[in-house]
Amino acid sequence: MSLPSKVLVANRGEIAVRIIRTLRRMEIESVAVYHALDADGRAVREADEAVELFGETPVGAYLDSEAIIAACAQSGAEAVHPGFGFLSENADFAEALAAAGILFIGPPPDAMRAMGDKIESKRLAKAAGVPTLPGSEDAVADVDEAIAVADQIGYPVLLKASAGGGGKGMRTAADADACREAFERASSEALASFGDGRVFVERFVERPRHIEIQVLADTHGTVLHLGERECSIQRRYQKVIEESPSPAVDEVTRERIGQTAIDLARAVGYTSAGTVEMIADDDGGFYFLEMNTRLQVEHPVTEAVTGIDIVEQQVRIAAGEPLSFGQDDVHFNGHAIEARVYAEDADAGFLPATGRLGVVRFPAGDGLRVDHGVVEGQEVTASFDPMIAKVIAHAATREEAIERLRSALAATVLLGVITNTSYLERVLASPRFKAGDTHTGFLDEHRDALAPRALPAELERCLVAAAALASPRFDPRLAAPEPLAEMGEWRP
Amino acid sequence: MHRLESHVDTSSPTYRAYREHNLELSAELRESLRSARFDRPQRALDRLAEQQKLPVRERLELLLDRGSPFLELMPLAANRHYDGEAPQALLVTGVGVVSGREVMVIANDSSLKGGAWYPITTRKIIRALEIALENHLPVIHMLDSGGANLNLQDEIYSTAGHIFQQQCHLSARGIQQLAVVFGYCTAGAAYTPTLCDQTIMVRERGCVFLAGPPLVKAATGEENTTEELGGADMHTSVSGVADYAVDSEQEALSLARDIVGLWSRREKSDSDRRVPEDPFHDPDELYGIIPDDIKKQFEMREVIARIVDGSMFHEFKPAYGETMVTGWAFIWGFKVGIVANQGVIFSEAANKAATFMQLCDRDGIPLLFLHNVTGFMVGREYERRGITKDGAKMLMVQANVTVPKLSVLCHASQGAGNYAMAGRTWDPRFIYAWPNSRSSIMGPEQAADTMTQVRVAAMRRRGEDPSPEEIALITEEVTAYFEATYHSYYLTSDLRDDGLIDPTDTRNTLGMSLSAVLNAPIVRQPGGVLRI
Amino acid sequence: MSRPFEIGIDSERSHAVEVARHGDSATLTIDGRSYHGSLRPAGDGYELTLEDRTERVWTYVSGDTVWLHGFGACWAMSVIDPEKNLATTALSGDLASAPMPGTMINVGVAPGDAVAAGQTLVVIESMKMQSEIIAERDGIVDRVFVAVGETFDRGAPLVSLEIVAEPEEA
Repeated sequence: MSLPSKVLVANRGEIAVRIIRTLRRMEIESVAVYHALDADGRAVREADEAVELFGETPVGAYLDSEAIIAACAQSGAEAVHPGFGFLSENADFAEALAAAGILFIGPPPDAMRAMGDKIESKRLAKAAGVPTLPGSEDAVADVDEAIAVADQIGYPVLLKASAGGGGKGMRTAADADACREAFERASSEALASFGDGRVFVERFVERPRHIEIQVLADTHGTVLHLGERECSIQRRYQKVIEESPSPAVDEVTRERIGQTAIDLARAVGYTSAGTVEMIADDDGGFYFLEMNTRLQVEHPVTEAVTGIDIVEQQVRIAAGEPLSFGQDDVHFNGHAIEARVYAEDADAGFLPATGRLGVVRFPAGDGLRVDHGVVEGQEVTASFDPMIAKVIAHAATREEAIERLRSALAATVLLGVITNTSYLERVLASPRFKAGDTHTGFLDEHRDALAPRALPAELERCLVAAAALASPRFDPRLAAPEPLAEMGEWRP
Repeated sequence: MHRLESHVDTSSPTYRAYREHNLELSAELRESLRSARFDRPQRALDRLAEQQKLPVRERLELLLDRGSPFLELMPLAANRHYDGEAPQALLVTGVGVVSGREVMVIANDSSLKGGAWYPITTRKIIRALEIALENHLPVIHMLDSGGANLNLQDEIYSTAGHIFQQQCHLSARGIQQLAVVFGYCTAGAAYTPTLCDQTIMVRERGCVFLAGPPLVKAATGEENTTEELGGADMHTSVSGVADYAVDSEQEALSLARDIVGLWSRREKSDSDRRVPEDPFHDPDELYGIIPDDIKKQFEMREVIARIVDGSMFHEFKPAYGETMVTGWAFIWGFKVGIVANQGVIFSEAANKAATFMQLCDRDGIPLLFLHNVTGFMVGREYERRGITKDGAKMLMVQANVTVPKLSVLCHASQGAGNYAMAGRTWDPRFIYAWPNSRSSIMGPEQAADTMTQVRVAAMRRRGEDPSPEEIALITEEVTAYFEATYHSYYLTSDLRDDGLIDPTDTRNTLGMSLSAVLNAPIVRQPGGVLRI
Repeated sequence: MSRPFEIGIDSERSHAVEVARHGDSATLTIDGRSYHGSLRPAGDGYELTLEDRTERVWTYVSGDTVWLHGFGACWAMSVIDPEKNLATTALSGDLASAPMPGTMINVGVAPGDAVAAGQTLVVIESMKMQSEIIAERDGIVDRVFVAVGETFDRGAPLVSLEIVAEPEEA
């Protein structure tokens, strides 16, 4: 089977641009789909063709499977890359594509379904020999069962929505009373958010590191791992900074957990790229969290360190090619860190920010990669998620990568919308981060230390001067004529 | 063009004596200005505060652009009149910058006598408006006056009406006028805001009416408060006499600045502007160059060297008519043609000056006259050679040039020499005087001599025989009269110039003046240049 | 020269600024002290000079906000006209506006309703989180600007209370 000659990218923003970039390199034609709000976006500009999608909400447009399949027919696309989010983990969509004779660049629908259910995936993981957190085998029937399980495994516990993600439907409890309340909250929120109120209970690890393994599997039985990423720097369960390798993982551990990930992938018949997410406690214990059956936002750090283009591999795997390399061919060079630039006001409770991006200048240079989908002049609205760009720095050592990323963020010019670039810089500069002392509560724990510093008076003056000179309120038409202006305040 | 060389010996006793003398004059000038501007009895200032009024100088500071220059005109008006009752004639006027535009500001000083008009006040206003008309400067009137000082109504009424005609002419000439009414604006003066394009009034303080409540009551029995009769709200919402009503003086001035900022900027006449350069020779040395006695001479080129950009000067016809120095230079980047005295005016000098002025007129170059002249040369030889004919040629050319003329009285400026050099009566756009300067028909000694002779002769014809003491008394009287009336402070008090300036301020004063005059177009007239 | 404005770097720090331009440079008076400075085009951005400090910067002006990148960060500065705050300013708390962009979920009041300080006026949702907008003072509801289901941007007016005229300050 040969590579598809035309691929439709069922996504938007930076990931659509990034996928199109690889397709171009592979000399495969690309088709972008877009909602009217993205009509002038980068993805549409970079793709060879574009098809408009319609929907009651902008997000709805990108979730419209039928329209996307129709777009494939219209454009003659032979395959669809779903990116992440939207329909990327929608097994029905994958099947509908297959029925329409269109290649889905991703894992088999069964694997998606299996891993899509938290309870089911945990069971499979355990069966495959992946360490899992002690807890309820299944969703707990009611609050009493929740408490019984909690008593058994020991507090603190975490009550988690089975259908949940992104921190929704999750509550911790330190004792039985708290457990009672946590159960009510978690299940009602899960019901409201996901339509599925099932909750299960598991041990709560305090200050865990979030560590995930990238796996790659072809349709010829080869499954390998591309190393781990640590994504402990999170805010409200949204990842902010990710790195590869993890400062807490040595070669031996990497092989061990890598192997468990491979085992799980094999057990569910996984193909394409996927990520096995785990949490690690202080004692070196690793526990399965979930498996994401898609390309991950933070995949660039793995690509930097291994030199492998994961999207390219996905396309080849989907086309039926065997992987052209084995586990022994996978080497890890240096250290890569990614920072997610969000449109939010980090100094004001991370309130989402909107506005028009009047000036956009991303840094470039050795060991720097910027994945973004923005165009100067575009509106950043509340319609889509607020991630504007990913800045990735790769260097020989972790210290160098940190410095490289810090200067890249300092040099990032995004004017017109408030972003978190300075906040990210402060995180990277913090001694605890530099020491690799990271865990998922890092940002909360160090909140005060990460607050913005006072500006030196001279710097404030410079900013004020620049603003005054740039603002039309200080109208140059109101400038005194020469030579009076040069005379200054002369009063004989 | 080349740089003038200095031959001043700053260590000579003459230099030092002159310097000491002129520094005293400079200190005296500074103190006189300070006193005229700021010395007011405390109760006067208290009263202003009670009325919630700002002193006129504070109003000025709020109006003018911060960090901008302000050329106050006629600041020592009335300093030798009215027994000093009316410092500055209770009016501040000058050329300043508001929202980036050059404007003429005319502001009543209500700290004394309720800001009443004295005769010199009306003449000062008229002169300011004349400058505005000739130089196309927009005018901002800051009104706060109880009206004419009725004790002097005769001299006031004989000239005051001209003000309002000038306002009409300003308007017809497309020159903007703005009035801000801070206090009373009554009787005839009520026409000032009404004739302006736009008027701002401060509530509870500003009022405009032809007759105030007491007069109205006396005339018709009708009772009114000032607000009802002519206050801000009434005029801005009922009569339409004014346009904006504000609650405070600060708001009024801020609004005034906004309005001025919306006026279109004038395009200036081109005067071949260059990048300005400070004089190469130190202007401070002027103090040591100007003599301590009106009869002593000095080298005018040394003065020029300390006024013009880079001390660079291109002298025209240097070897001819050596009692006139003519040539081109730049002041604050503006090109000027300089006509300066170096002694009594001889025929050749007058002819050279006439020729030079034609050249400047032909090229649209403003003229600057630097006075140090006692008159034209007298005597039989010169009369026979037609000194007055040659003088007349210079006068004829000077009167009819279309370029702006500026004058500075640097030392003596007497008789017809003053006329030839574009003195006050020859309508220069601006005329200034140094404190050491003196101007009259002839010098006091000369006059005293002549007058004593005449009077003694008359007495003798009547059969009287004056004693030496009596003769000496006559001489003293005449001398005193001349010395009083030719003194720079007296002349400026009577508005015979647009202000006394310190020699070291000449450059900036002329720079601002040149900038101001170029707001009016220079209309060149064709016609051949006569080599006179 | 311009009249004074305030330039605020955030809600806490603002400075009084005046500018007198000459040619392509200027005298800036910041909080009463004067400095010499300029903002000249350089490359695709600008070069800022203030006294002896020089920096490459990028600027973007949007209404009364000047966005600036320089000194290793992005800044948003507001240009505030102090004279706009004179006289007739409404009492604070007259207008409840959106603290962030989002969607109107529930409107609990109607024009004419009496509300007490602390009472929930409306409920909004943003980033999948719900927030209650509460009344800052007692009052009568004047207008509700957004209907259930409609979206809005940050700063958009949501509910206004009838203005209670306050005696002007002397």
